[in-house]
Amino acid sequence: MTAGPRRIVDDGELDRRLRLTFRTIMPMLDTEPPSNSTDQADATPLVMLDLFARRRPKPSRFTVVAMAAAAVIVAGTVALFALNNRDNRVTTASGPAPGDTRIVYTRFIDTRFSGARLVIADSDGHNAKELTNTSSGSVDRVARISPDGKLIVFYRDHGTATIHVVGSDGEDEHQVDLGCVDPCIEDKFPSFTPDGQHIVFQRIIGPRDPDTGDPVSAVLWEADLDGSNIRRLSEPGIDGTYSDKDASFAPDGYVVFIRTREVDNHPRAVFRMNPDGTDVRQLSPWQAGSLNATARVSPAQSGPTRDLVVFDYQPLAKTVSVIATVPATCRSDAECTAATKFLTSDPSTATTQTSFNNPAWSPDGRRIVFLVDDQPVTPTSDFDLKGAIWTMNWDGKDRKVVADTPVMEQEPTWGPAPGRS
Amino acid sequence: VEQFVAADQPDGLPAPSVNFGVLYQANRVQLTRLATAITLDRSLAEEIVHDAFVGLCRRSDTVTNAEGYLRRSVVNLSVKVLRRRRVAAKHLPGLAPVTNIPEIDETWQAVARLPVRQRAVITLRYWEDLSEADIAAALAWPAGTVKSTLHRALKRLKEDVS
Repeated sequence: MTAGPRRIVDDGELDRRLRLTFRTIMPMLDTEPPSNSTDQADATPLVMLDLFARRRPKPSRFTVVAMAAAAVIVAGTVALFALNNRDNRVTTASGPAPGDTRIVYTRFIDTRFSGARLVIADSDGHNAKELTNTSSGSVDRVARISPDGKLIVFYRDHGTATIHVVGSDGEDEHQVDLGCVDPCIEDKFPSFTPDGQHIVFQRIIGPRDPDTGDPVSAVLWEADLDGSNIRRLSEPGIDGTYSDKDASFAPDGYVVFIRTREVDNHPRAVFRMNPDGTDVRQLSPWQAGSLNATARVSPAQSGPTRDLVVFDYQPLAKTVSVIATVPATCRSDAECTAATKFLTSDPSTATTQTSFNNPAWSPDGRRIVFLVDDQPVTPTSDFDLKGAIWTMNWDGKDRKVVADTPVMEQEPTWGPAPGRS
Repeated sequence: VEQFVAADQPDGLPAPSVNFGVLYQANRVQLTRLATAITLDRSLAEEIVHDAFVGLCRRSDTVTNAEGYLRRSVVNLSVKVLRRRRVAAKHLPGLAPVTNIPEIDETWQAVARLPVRQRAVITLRYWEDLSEADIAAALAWPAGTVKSTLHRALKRLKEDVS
């Protein structure tokens, strides 16, 4: 197209053009994330294939075709399961008897999100009861169950975050005194070590940068269950460049966690390392930043989910997450990419506003509990923001609802019932 | 992002009598559009709107005008997040033409090239159809700041599209 001579735009003409532009453009912003590419054709189909796009060559045409075919199969399978389960939302999960294991999750106390408590239930959602009794203004989040099923560790966000432990019967709730004093700001994202005697958590150390708000440090630390003997877990020298959170231990000791780059839009990825901070490896591509990102390694000592990491994956160009798995044993970007499986949908072609988040393994590594967050493109008159807790087999099949109430539920975890570990 | 919300908190106001679900239903789309127009990043906009709602529920006891609080939070969060990314923002190529109507795409590109505060004011003026006084009230900015920001934005837009 040849550009013609430019004409002067006066105030009235500019006013008209701006109104026309906003009236036309703004509704179009609802459907797809804006792309900086002028070639819309390459914006979506290769997202799934291009997991490590900035660090490896583009896949071959054969790979593209093979992966596209796989994506179609996965999408078809998912649609089939969705249809099969449409009228079967309140059912009993398969695997161990529902009373042998417990699911703990965060449930907001009302639809105004004025606070949130922990709820514990059988794995089929029955026998649900509140574990904590926080008041308005406090949110109890990111619970983890101890290996023996007797304790739940979580953090309470009441402006700043503190780590607490409560019995699985709701008794003896107390704050773990981790000695967080200035410049320490807060402690978050706790979890148990495999022996149940220690907790690993993210410690935020200030001061925060006045421009960016980023703290001096946000990495993983470990302490005894009573808060003593604090030691750093994350590798040295990463502070200010990366932040680490949401650690989860494999039965034989290595740690998977979420690492965030302290740049631009804070992309995150799943990593693993030895418990002494060595042998750090990236398992997933960098993906869109998220406040709720999780990664868990299967507790299975054998079988198909041994060393399999489940995580929520949100491609950089997408607004919704899917549940994916990757073997913690993969050794290279290409190997990890090839071995990554999407259990809920194909992220490159997902067109709905349903997001799948917060996956966690069952104690036997056979099923996964996760959050379904429906965000209709066009809100309906009876729409309310809410999340529902579901479980599914490790391969994405046999989905069953655990909790679906009018208020928001999120961040489920799955552990043994006391005496059943 | 969450940490910035505190700075936008109106103080000393009584609790709202609003159903959060209804509020979310009624405002999510509009707020997301607003944040997207300012940040030029749909994904980031979703996060900002989410954080604005989280900020609101944390302060539900002290906010009377929930919708006003949300709009102010979304704009201020958008501006702050983009300032935080100011290096990247300088190199934003702007959104690709999406209508294939040259007049609209050219104008949108010009809006996308504005500094973030100017883009925020232009969006409120021409999308939300707010007067200068309303923008000042919505953002808790001095009226003079809104006036000069809008003036600079329009001057720049006129030069850009002429």
